[in-house]
Amino acid sequence: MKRYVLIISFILNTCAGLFSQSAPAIDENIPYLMTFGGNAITSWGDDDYCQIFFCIIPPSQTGPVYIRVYDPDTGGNLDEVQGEFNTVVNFSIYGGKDCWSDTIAQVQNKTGNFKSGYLLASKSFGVDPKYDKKWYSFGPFNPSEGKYVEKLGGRVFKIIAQGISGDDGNIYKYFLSTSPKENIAVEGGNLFTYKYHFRLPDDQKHVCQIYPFVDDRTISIQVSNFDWDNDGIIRIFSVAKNGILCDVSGDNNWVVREFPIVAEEKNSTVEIQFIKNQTVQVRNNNVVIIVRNQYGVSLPFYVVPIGGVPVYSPKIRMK
Amino acid sequence: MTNWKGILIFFFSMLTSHAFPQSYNFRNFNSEDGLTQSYIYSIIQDIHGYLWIGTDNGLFRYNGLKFENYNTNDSLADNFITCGISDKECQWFGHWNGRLSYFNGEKLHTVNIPRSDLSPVTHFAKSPDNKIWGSTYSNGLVKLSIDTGSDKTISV
Repeated sequence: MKRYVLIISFILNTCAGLFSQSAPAIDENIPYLMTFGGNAITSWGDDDYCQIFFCIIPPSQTGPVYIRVYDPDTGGNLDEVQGEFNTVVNFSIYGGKDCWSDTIAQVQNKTGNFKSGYLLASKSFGVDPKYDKKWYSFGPFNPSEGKYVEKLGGRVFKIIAQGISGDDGNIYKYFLSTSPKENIAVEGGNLFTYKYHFRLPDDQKHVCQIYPFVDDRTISIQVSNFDWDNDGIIRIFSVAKNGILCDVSGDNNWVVREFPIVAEEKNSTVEIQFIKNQTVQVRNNNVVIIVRNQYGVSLPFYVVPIGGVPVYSPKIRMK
Repeated sequence: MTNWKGILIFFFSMLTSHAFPQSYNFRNFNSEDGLTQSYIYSIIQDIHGYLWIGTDNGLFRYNGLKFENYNTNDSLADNFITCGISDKECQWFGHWNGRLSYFNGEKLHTVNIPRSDLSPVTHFAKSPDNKIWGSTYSNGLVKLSIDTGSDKTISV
């Protein structure tokens, strides 16, 4: 019986790896990403009006890939209006050398050279019913145009969503696909970001989670969250942490909490869980999360968690 | 009385019955024909009629019968060819790594470019003074100026 459970678990984990190539991922239970127009105020939840994602294409993928954006325009009832819709958000795709580097994790805002690499495609969206609640496909991209990064196990492309003007919130999501017309996952592909800007669900029963990867150099992590609006609690899970509470920021504010990393947590995924406020419903809550190591370098959040979702293993001490 | 008008109309209507719209025959070339790469970035024809096909993994020359493959082992600057242009006896090729190669009618040569911060060459064009210009992703335009010395160099 135990053997069958193990086999089924393995298959489910494999399937999750194959088919969870949307950002946010289905398993994360986060409905959408968000980027506000460049003239928005930060108290609406976006600290820098710019979201940077990377996608990894494994060497086995030789056919063209597409980066699809759902609801790329800023208009309609999915996006967040401030007065009247007046926002333009630009989506751009970068490949080639320098689109990713070891030091890029340190570039977390628009003051750094975050547009490094070769611009392969770019399109700005304002209010456009043609793209409202519909998918727009960038591509086709030859995987060879991405930067090969051995330690990431594939070729990397960079996706930048930048609020150019206006003050509304663009709510959207990505899918890494082999088709321009439907969402067909790239087998073995993944997406990651160093700074996660997203919209929490309105449903108080929902629990969301994101998955930073802790490498072997990490001895402590600093979990930072912005504009949490006291919307419930944040807990940290790992093989050695069983739901440790993390400080939450209030309105328009960053808060940082540091956690030590023990030996068994190195080279594994940590789960940051967001549990909505059960007494007061907070709607349209937009937040930003960063996890840094002891050097101040951001750790990547993978939509398909590396090594799977962490499971707490309690240590039993015999006296 | 002979109805000449009717005869003429009948005659011309017979002629037009043969005026079918043009039909085109397409043939797909792939690895079975020797074109082993499917991402084609450039295609040019030289003065001898050869087609030069630039791909993301090698350069191919088609003589109407078969494809010959050239790569870095043949002095190509990079296997990823992004663009090409034919200039008299010389065929120029731009690469994803920002370098340039040319074929002088005998063999391929890598062009010595005296800088390291290169970006992909995207297009070539010839100006009225017969100079070859190349556009790049992030390094602006380059003008190809061939020295008469043994090593050909490019002024940027």
